[in-house]
Amino acid sequence: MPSETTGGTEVPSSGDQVAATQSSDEYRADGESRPWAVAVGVGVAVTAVAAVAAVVLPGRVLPAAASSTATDAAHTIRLYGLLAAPVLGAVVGIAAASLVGRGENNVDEPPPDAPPVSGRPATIVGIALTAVLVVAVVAWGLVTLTPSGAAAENALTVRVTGHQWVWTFAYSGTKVVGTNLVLPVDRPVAFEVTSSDVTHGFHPVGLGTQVEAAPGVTTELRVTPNKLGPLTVQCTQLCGLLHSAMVTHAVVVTPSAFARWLVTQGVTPTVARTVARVGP
Amino acid sequence: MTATMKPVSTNAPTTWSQRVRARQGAVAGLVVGALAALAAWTVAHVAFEIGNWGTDRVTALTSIAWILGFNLGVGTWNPPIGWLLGWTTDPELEATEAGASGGRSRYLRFCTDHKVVGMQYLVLGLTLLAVGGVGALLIRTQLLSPHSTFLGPTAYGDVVTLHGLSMVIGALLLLIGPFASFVVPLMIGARSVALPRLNAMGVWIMTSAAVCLIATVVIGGADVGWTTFAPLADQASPAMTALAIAMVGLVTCVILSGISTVTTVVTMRAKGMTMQRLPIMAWGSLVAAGLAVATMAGLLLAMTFVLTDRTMGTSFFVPPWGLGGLYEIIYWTMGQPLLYVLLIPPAAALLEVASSFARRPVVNPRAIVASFIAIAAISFVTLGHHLYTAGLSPAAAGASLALTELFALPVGVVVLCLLATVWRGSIWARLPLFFVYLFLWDLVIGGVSGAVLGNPTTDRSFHGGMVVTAHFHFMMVGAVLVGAAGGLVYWFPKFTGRMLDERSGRGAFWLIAFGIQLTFLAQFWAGAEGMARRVAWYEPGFQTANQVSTAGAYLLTLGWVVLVWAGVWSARHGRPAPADPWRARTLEWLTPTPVPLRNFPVPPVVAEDSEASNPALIVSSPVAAVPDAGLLDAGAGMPSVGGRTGEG
Repeated sequence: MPSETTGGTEVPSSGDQVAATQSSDEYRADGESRPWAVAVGVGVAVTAVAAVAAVVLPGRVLPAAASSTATDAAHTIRLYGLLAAPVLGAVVGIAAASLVGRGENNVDEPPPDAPPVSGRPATIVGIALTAVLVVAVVAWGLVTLTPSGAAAENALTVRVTGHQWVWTFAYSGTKVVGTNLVLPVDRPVAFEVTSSDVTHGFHPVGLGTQVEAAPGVTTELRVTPNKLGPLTVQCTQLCGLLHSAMVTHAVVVTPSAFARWLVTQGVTPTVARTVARVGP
Repeated sequence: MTATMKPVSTNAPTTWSQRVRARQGAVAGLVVGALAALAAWTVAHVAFEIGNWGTDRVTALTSIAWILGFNLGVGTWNPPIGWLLGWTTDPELEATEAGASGGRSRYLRFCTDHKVVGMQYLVLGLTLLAVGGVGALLIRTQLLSPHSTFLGPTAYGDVVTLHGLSMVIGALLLLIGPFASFVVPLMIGARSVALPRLNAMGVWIMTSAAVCLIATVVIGGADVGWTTFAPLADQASPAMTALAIAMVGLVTCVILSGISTVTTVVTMRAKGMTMQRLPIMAWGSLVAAGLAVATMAGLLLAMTFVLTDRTMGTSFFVPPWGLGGLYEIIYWTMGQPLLYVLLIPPAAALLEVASSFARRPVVNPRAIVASFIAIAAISFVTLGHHLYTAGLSPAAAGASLALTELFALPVGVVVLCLLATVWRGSIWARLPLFFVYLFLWDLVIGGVSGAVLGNPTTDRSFHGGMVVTAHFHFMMVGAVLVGAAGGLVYWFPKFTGRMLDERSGRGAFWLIAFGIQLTFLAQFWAGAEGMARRVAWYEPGFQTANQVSTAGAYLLTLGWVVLVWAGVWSARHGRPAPADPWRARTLEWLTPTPVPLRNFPVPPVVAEDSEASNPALIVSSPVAAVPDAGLLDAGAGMPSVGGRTGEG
């Protein structure tokens, strides 16, 4: 991009340099095209590698997505990675090109001055391209931000309270309170989160979302688990001595298994079926 | 020296104040501070807390007495005390205080020479970085295995807090001292800083505050993290009280030195040094100092409330009336701008480096200055992205998202102009330039991960996890510390009068470059897998990433040690440096090294460079060491002897 500013200008001869591996004359000879070739070549290569990494790596490294929110987050990372790949490529390409063709000049005397450039065209083009990226990034962010408003109707409400250093879960419609988190699959959950002491962070890893548990405040987290299996609930806000150990293992089960679990917690079968929304 | 002091009497008898002032310094500070702390400790115990020597009130009074006493012994309070008591001036004492005499002992005294202050900050900053570095090694060693017992959970939490705060403050002091206090006044052709006493007060207040900070690990520890979130901070041991008082000292230091920097750049510029011609480094320091002065009140407020909650029974952050989450909002009004206070000066320093080693003026300086100002402005309104998980409404989250991603525009312009400066430049591959390239790489990684974390959807996956740690360290180590190191290496000949050993410096550079990638890319990996930050134990699945990160941290530490060692060795035994070893064009290189007391033998005059298209190119010097006479404007070459041209 900065090339617009330098196109056609002459780099002054570096005649006083001690040329070791490459003579300064050689640099002069292909000085017009070579930085461009290097910038484009390196830039494209880095962009390609970064783009592949952006698409492939999230699937390999991120915890298995157990909700559409987590899937959205993974897609967002891929998209942002793809948009960032040419930025990384451009920076590395231009930086690499700035280093090619210089002679051995590790001496006390600097090479002759390079011509000053205004850089205004490059800046304007750079701002315009960055603005496109910013608009894309913000637009996608706003789209994924839109909350799933329909979730409220049949949501299962779970009141989550952080204590030093354990989570308790109370299931609305029942008197079940305990340290176990069991969730029915494909059913929206509304976590009402608070704390009894200091600020904690309620993060069911894999559901791709979290919310702070602050004393005196109730924060709400809505998410729909869509995958059966175990989850880890982690505290993500430093909360004192045993913060590291404030980890709970949760599980996502079928609605009927959820109803059965409620019964084992002392809920009558009728209430359990109502809360779990399963037929008799 | 000032109008407020009585004129010098020719045969002044030695008064008690003169005898005392002649003995002031770091040693007297230690003695007076220790005695004051001991006295306060005893009195507070008798007054409030019979039978309990370690409560919050006792700790608070002891810490305050230490800071006041230390600075009394050093002489930090002399300017206001002398003014109040109408002290007579003593030419010898005044000269010593101004740095005219005293040799190396000036560095252990209250000295108003901005160059001495700059070096005092450098030593203090490096000391804090060393403490933080030891903390980092302890943390990474603990995390070698999933359930390590290397540190207990309490010690681990204490070390996490000390590591974070020492590193952030140490980095900040490098920018305040060597850059804003030492280099910037020289760059603008000033004979001094505008407010030399204020400038010098900051470093000694910070020295005493740093002692309180480091003492926290000895007197009980505060396992709260560098952000010291309340209500957890209300719960920590009384060491938290000492820590909060250290933070008040930090705020004082930053505001005093910030006011000094802003005033200096605005009022002390050399004749002809218009704001249009102001070097990028001076602009960077000006914007960062202004931003710091404007936002530090947030930290003061947060720490004051923590202190009153702990010692006076108020309830800002704790039940019954305290509001959970309030601290975070107050804190981030300071914490978010602080990150840009830390980022702007290193970027500015590396723009100067790029200009000197690509042999051309900084490209499009006006766009860069506009970007610095835009970054500072945006940083006021982006605290929301720290609160995505704190119950922010969708509308507020959307606004925070848009504002946060907006950072890409001004930061992008700075990166672009940095690249344009080296693109097809006449590259002179010396050590300072290496840091420019490392900075660019790290800034892109840190910036892109920041853009990802600036999105509420992804932030809610990663908040409180190692991805945040990795992003933050790419910015703070990869960009801020690397940029600061590049600047320090660049101005090393001006600081010490000797050349930094290039070979060991390059060795250190490569260790640092690869150390950063290993350490923090591996933390992205651990974080993406789901590891939380600030944990002493983790699930075995994250072990490989953590082992890689720990190996990188050892490498990185080795790199910093080699660099500091090279600096210390070269400062003593290095090749003597000419006044302008880099053939650079800013004014600090046009004065002899070591820099004379009043900076320039003759006040410099700056004039337009007729050959360069760039109006910001500084070309004139009235004195020695003119590197390139061809660039010198004829009119500007005339020394303006005796005139008060030093003040703009």
